[in-house]
Formats: sequence, C-alpha cells, structure tokens
Amino acid sequence: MSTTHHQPSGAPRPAAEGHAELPPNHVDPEVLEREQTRWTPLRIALWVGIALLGAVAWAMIAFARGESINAIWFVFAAVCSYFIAYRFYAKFIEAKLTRPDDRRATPAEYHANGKDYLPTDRRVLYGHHFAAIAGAGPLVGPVLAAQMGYLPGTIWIIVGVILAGAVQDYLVLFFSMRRGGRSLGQMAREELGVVGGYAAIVATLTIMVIIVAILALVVVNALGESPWGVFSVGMTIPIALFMGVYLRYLRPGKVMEVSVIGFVLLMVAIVGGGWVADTELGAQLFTLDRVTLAWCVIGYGFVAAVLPVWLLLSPRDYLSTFMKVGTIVLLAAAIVVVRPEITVPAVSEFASRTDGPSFTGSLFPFLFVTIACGALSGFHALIASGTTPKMIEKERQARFIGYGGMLMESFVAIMALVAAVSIDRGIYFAMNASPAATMGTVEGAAAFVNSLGLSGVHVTPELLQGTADAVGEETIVSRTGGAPTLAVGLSHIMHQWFGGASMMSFWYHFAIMFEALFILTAVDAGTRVARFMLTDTLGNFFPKFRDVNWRAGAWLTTAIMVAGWGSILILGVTDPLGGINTFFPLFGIANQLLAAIALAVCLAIAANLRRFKHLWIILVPLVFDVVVTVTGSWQKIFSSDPKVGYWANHVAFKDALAQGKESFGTAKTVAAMEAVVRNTFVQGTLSVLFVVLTIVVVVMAAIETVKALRGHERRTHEDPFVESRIYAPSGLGATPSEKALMTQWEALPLEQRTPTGGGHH
Amino acid sequence: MPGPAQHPVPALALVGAWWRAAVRFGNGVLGADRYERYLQYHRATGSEAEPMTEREFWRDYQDWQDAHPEGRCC
Repeated sequence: MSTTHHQPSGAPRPAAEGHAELPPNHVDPEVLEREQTRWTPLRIALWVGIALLGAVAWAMIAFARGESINAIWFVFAAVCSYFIAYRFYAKFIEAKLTRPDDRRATPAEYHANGKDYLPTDRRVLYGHHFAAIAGAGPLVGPVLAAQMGYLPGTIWIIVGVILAGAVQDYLVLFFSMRRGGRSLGQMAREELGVVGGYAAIVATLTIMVIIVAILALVVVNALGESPWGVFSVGMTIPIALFMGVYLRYLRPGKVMEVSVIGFVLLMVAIVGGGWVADTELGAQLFTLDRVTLAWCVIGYGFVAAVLPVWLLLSPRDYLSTFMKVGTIVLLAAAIVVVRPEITVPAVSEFASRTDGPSFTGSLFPFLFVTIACGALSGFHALIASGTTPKMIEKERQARFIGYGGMLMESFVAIMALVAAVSIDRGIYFAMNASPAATMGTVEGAAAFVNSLGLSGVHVTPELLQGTADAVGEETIVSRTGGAPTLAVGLSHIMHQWFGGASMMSFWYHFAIMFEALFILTAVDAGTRVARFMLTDTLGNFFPKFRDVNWRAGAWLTTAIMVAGWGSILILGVTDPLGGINTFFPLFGIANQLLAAIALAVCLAIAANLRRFKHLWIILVPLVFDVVVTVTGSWQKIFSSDPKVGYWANHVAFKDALAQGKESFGTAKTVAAMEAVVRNTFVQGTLSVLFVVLTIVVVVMAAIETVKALRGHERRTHEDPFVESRIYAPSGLGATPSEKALMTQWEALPLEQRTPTGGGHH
Repeated sequence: MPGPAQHPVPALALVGAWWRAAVRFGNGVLGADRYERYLQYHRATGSEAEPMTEREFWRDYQDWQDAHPEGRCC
C-alpha cells in the first residue's frame, strides 16, 4: 500500500509537503468568489444605496448652481466613488491582470528576517503604508488648484485616483512583491535593459531632488516672518532629540510612550509659541526672513542625514506618524461635524485663463500636475516597491494595501480642497498671489485682488488684517505655498467645532506644525534615501562608495544631495516672480513623470506576462499621464507666453537686460532681473532633462511591450514559487470561510505559524 | 452561544476590548511592537542561542536602520 496520500483535486492543499498538520494556506478561490460576489438582496440594496448616494452627491457638486453647496456632498461623492472603485474596478484588475495566488509565499515569508522582511497584520500595514505615502503633498496641491474652482480639482482627484493613482500603487506593490520586494530602479533595469534602467535611476534621483526642494520651499514660505511658527516648528528638533535619547538610553523600546510624551510636548510648543511671539525678545529672535530660514532648513537637512538615525530621524518619524494618523481622523471628523458651506464657484474665471495668481498655465495640463499627490503620485512607487512589499503577508492583501491605501490619500486631498474652498475667495487670492503682485501689504493685496474682476469678490485691507490677527500672524498677504491657506481653512472649520474664535490661532499653528513636520520628515528621509541611491550608483564605478562605514563618502554624497535641493530652494525663495507659482508646476511635472516611469515598468511586466487583453488598464493612465506631462513640459519649454514658458521668460528678461533696462515686469531691480534669468534657465533645463529621461523609459517599455506582442518569449524576473506556510484574510474584514480558516490557524502554537525565512525547524 | 439577553456584554468590557485593539494597532503602525515580534521570530527559528535583550535589540535595530533608510513620501 502506498504511503503517499492524495488530495482530492481542486481542494486546497496543505501548506507544504511533510507538514500535513498545517491547515490549508488559502481559501479555495471559487469558494471565496461565491462568498464575495453572490448577489444577496441585502447586498444588492447596499450597493444600489451607495451608487445612488454617490450619484446624488456628484449631481449636487456638478450641477447645483445655488448660492452655496454643503461640504458634506464632497465627502459622500468621494467615499461612494471609492467604495465602488475598490469593490468593482480593483477587483477586476485583480481578476484579470495581477491574479494573486495565496498559495504563493510572499517575500515577507520566505525572506523573513525579523527586521525589514516582516509579515505584518494587513490592517497595521495599511496604516504603515499610508503613513509612508501620505504627507504634505495631498494637502498642498489641491489648495493651489482651488483657484480654478472646486469642480475641476474634485473630478481629477476622484477619477484620477480610481483610474491612475491607485492603479499605479497597487501594480507596483504587486509586481515588486512578486520580485522579492525589489526597488523600482532595480525592476526598471531588469525589465527595460541597461539604458532604460539607468534612465529610470537618474530620473528618480533628480526628481527626488526637485521634490524635496519644493517641499522645503513650502515650509520656508509658511514660516517666513512668522515667529510663532518658527518657534513651535523649531522646537520639534529638541523634542525629537529628547525622544531619541530617551529611546536609546532611558527606556529602549517604549515607542508609544515616548510618542505620547513627544505629542504633549508638541502641543506645549504650539501654545508656547504664541506666548513667545508676544514677547519683544521672542518676536525679535524668531522673526526670520525666508533666505535665513532656507539656510536653516538646508543645514538641518544635512545634519539630519548624517547623524545616526536614532538621534533625530527615527524619533521625528514616530512623531510624524503619530500626528499623521491623528490629524487625518480629526480633519475628517471636523468636516463631517461642521459641514461648512462653500460659496466658491464650481468653475472659476481662472479655469479658462493662463495667468492664475497661485499657479500659471491653463487647466489642461497644469491642473493635472498641480494636483499630483492625491490623484496620481509617482513618488509612491518608491514606497510601494522596496518598503511595503517586504511586510505583506498574502498576495491577495495587495489590493487592500496598495489600492485602498491610495484611496485614503485621495480622501485627504479632497478634505484639503474642501478646507481651501471654504474660506473667502478674496482672502484665498490675497494669500496665494506672489509678493510682486500684492506688494506684500494689505492695501496692495486688496487692490490687486479687487482688480482681478472676480464675481462676488471684494476684500478690504481690514478684512485681511483681521484674518491675520485672528490666526495670530503679522500678515496673511502673499503667504504662498498652500500650507498657510490650508491652515486658515482648517482653523476656520475647526474653531466652529472646538474653542470658538479664540482658538483660531491655535488651530492655524497646529496645521502649520503638522504640515512642517510631515515635510521635514520627507526632507530628511528623502535626503538619506537619495544619498544611498547615489552611493549605490557611484559604487558601480568607485567600489569604495559601497562601504557604508566610510564616513567621508557618506558626508560627501549627503553634501551633493543637499547642495542639489538646497540650491533650488535658494533660487525659489529669492525668486522675484514669487517662487511657488513658477516652481510648483515643476514639482508636479516631476512627480507625474516618475508615475509615467512606474506605469511604463508595469506595462512591460504585464506584457511579458502576456496579459494583452487587459493592458488597457495600464495604458489608460499611462497615456493620459504622458500626454499631460509632455504637454506640460512642452509648454514650459516652448510656450511663447512668458507667464507659462520658462525659456520665453528667460529670453524676455535677457533682452531687457541687454537693452539696459533697470526694471522689467515684476522684477524691480537689475539683480532681480538677473535672478529671473538664472532661475528660468534652471527651471527650463530641469524640464528638458526630466522629459527626455522619461521619454527614454517610456519608449523602452513600449519596445518591450511590442516585442512581447510579437510573441517574443522572455524569462520572467519573478522570484520562484515557494509554497506558503501561513494564512491571513485579504480584506479589511474576513469572509465566513476566511474566518473559519483563520480559526484553524489560530489553534496552532504561535511558533508554527511564524515564518523564519528558510530557517528549517 | 448564549444570547445577549441572558448575558449582556458589559459595556465596559467592550470599550476595553476596543481600546486594546486600538493600542495594538497604534503600536503596530508606529513599530513599537518590534521587540515582541523579534522574540516571536527568534522562538520560531528554534535557535539555541539566547535572544537579545530589549536594550540590545533596539540598539542593534537602530544601527541596522542607519544603513537601511526608508523613504517618506510627500
């Protein structure tokens, strides 16, 4: 008699040969399918209800032309659309394109090392992934885009995330997970060859530099001439140092405890900032101009990137994560509770013009690059490859983490948009017009805004000063960059819920604090990551750079990266045209070009998997993104309108200088004119570089795709199949059969269901 | 299973359970439970060696982090 036992065909197999005692490692996909897609009356009613509510909300937003519209409709439209997209479109992508297989062990399981390869509960990983992808980006872009009215931004944020942003995040996460958690650069190299691979790496590196620079510019603009902000944000450094020492020497491992302590200290720092700014000495000490602040941020960035991470970087990260989850929940609750009325027009006068005060250029393509994070963000591909795939327990969870995580970021963007459009339009434009337009005075700003000829907009100097006084600032005129506008919007919403008018200044500085915290975390982590990417690349030519203990090498490469973003930051703060409104499009274009690279890599992978029929899932966002970014870059490079084209502006100012003019346009001195010439040269050159590198990558991906279409077979770069020896449900909740299987697994001793990464027991 | 009518779930116990779940979630997202999970991993490998103490583990982990930066997005 044979000792081998046979499984009935089709039934789930035990987790591994010789481990018959383990329960199955997956629920039979057919059973799962039946459970999830059988249309019971209750389910039909539920989804019809969601669809109806969503439709009504969309109709309210798009067609209501009354005096005002309630912000709650934005929440309903967004959430209902997300549910439908997650349940139907993401499921469709899963069934047709990715086809996850829960029998297959993930890198977290077969490489498990107790450190970065660490199978993590899906709900915890969702929070972890969200904290890594979301920061100030989705808070800032929608604010600037609000100049075109709420409708274009809302449509792009919601439709964009469903068809583009979440698709990119999910696919990159999935394909990286199938490849042992390899980074986007490594995947590009494998899938697109040496040229495409290097182009992707250089593009990633330069794009990271510009992104860090513009984020830093947002912080500097928010803190310039604001002693309260400078004090409270500055205090985060000693607070983080204290937390670092506490965790290293006093009570190692008490992360939650120290985060709570840090949070309390942070609140004290915000309140204390108000007192300090009220004293003469404090106001004197902490009122810094933007150039000084820029140098402080540059110095901070360098120090944070070379210090051991335990001292500054990781405690800040704890604080930032703690704040991130908390503030998002707070913001959502506030909007639902307060339900502000919105009086801004759905589509504003600037939607059909190219000379908007907060960013220049026409709606197409510049709205789609101004709102990057929240709709489609290429930077996420760096997190979705490399970090998160090393922690995911089961392939089926990738939809929840990748697609679902991005939906949450999109929701943050919607909330930021609501906050921005809930404030008076006159105040909005006074805050977001460049100092060159407003002269930096309340009178100048009122005159400028009233001269725009916007319907229903009339601001007075008293209103602007009153708003500044209410939020505890010297002035709110020309506080560009989006962060101060969001902070005013947030304080406007929050004070109606908590504390009344007397709390407005607290909420304003609370918002500035968390935006600065998110940005500075992205700046120091970004500098560090970029430094390691640079040493890695240089290591190919000079092996000495691979030695992580070589301090001089670490200092040198850090200095190069900091010099890269630092010099752009300095250009930005000294820009006579206002800085943000000319530099921000570059940030968006860079981010979207990175998305094009990520989607191109996914396209090549999917084509080589021979999923031709459903390549459109990737082609739709890729083609749209390429059209948007290439058109945007084209206009930035070739447009003859100096308000839009970098080179047109460059030439105009150069000519003016050659003619011996002493002032030109908004530049009032020869030095300012020379600055414009220099800045437009840098911006123009970077635009050309980004677009060329991206086109190289996209063309390489197209070639790979066509080769695959012609039947060219290629070896897969996926890691080999390893039978999984763990089990976990796939979505937020568990279906009955998932629950039943989970119960079987939970009956086992913990050791038996803890992956050890190949270490046999 | 006993119906809720006979054995009403005390509200306090329910709040307690939710609170513990929230703390567990928070600890997980922050990465505060790393030592616990390391111990679990260590036991599962069946290694004869003594596991690191909490202090040793965090020192080792922080030093490892120095060479393995994690990106933060915008």
